[in-house]
Amino acid sequence: MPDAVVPHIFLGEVEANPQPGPYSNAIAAAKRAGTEYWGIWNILAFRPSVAYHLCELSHELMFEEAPISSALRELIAAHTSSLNRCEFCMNAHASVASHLYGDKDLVWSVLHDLESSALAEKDKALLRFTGKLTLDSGSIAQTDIDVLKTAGWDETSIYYAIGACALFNFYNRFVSGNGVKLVSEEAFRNLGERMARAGYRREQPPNLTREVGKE
Amino acid sequence: MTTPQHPKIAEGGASRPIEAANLPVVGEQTASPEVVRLYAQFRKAFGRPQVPGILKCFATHPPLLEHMMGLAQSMLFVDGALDRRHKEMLSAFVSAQNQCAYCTDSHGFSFRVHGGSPEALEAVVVCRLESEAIPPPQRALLDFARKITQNSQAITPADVEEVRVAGWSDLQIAEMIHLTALFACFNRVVNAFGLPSQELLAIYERENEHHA
Repeated sequence: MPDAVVPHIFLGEVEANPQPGPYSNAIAAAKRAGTEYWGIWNILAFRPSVAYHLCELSHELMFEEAPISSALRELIAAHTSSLNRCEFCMNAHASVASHLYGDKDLVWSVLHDLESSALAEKDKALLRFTGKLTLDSGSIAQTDIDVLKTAGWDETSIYYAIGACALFNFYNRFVSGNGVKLVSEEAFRNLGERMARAGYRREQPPNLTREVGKE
Repeated sequence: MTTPQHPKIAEGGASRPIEAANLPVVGEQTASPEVVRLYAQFRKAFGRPQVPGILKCFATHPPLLEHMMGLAQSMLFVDGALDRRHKEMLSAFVSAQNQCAYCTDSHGFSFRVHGGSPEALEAVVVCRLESEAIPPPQRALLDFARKITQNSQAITPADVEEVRVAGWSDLQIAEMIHLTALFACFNRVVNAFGLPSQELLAIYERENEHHA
C-alpha cells in the first residue's frame, strides 16, 4: 500500500479535521510538496485560538528581550523536557539552544549531567531550581528562591525561569500525550536554526523547504 | 461567559491584598496601565471584584498575563467537546495531583458550582478513582489525566483506546490532554510563587449550609 497514510498523532479525528489557520495551511502545503512535517502542527490546528495564544505567550517568554538570555531560556526548555523524558521537545530545544550558544557540546553535556557540565555555576543554580519545579513543585519554598538570589539572580530573571519551565511542562505533556513523533535530525537542526532566528510567532505559513528540508 | 456568579465570592474583599509566600506578585497599587486594563477585563467577564492571585503572578510581564488569560478562556472557561463540569473536574484533579492547593481549591469550587457533588469532589482530590461517586467513563478520563501528569512519555495508542472505549470522542480526549497539560504549567507557576489557597470551597460549603 504505497499510499497508506501514516498518522502523525494518536487522535485520528483531530488529525483529519484541521481548523482553518496558519497550521492547517502549513500542513496542506507540506502535503502538496511531499515534505516531512511536524505532528505538533496537527494539534495546533485543532483549536486555532489556543494555538495563537500559545505561540504569542511562547514568543514573549522565550524569545523577546529579557534579563536572562534566550540561550539560557532555551536550555531551561531542553533540560525540563529531558527531565520529563519528552524526546521531541528535548531535541527541538537542544537544537535552538545549540544555535544560540553556538556550542552544541555544552548544551548536550548539560542534558547528560548538569553538575559535571561546564555551564557557569550561576546558571546551574537556575537549572537546579527549574529541575525541582518540574519534578516536585509542591515542595518549592522561600529557601529555594533565596538560593537563586544568593547566586545573583534578580526577581525578574526568576519570573522568566519559572515561566519557561512551566511552559515546557505544558508542551511536554501536550506533545507526548498526543503522540507527536520524532522527525529527522536534519529537520530538528533546521527548526533550531529558524527558532533561534525568528522565535515562536507564526502568522504566515512557514517556508517549508527551509523549514524541514526534503528527505 | 458561562461562569456562574456566587454572592459570597463576589463580596469577598475587593481590596484584600494577595501575598504569595516565595515571590512578590503584582498588586493593584503597583500595576501598570496595561495590567490594570487586564484586571478590569477579568472583573467584567467574571463578575468577581477580587482578581485571583494566579493572574497577579503572570502580571509580572503584561503580555504573559494577556495570553495566559486567552489560553484559559479558549481551553477552560468555555463549553467545548467537554462541558464545563468535566473541565473543572479535570482541573481540580490534575491540580491535586500536582500538589497545588490554590488551583485545587478554585477549580474544586468551580466543579461544585457546575453541579459536581461533594462526594465526587472528595474522591477527585484524593485520587480515589474507584469511588462510587465517580462513574466509569469519568474514571477512565481521570486515569488518563493521571498518566499524562505523571508519566506522559509512556502514553501509547492503547491508553488512548481505553478512553475511547469508555465512551469519549477524539475531540473530547484532545481537549482533555490540552487541559491536563495547561495545569502542568499553571500549577507550577502557582507553586513557585507560593500562592496560598483562596479557600473558595470553604466559603461555598458554609454558604450551602446556611441555605440548607
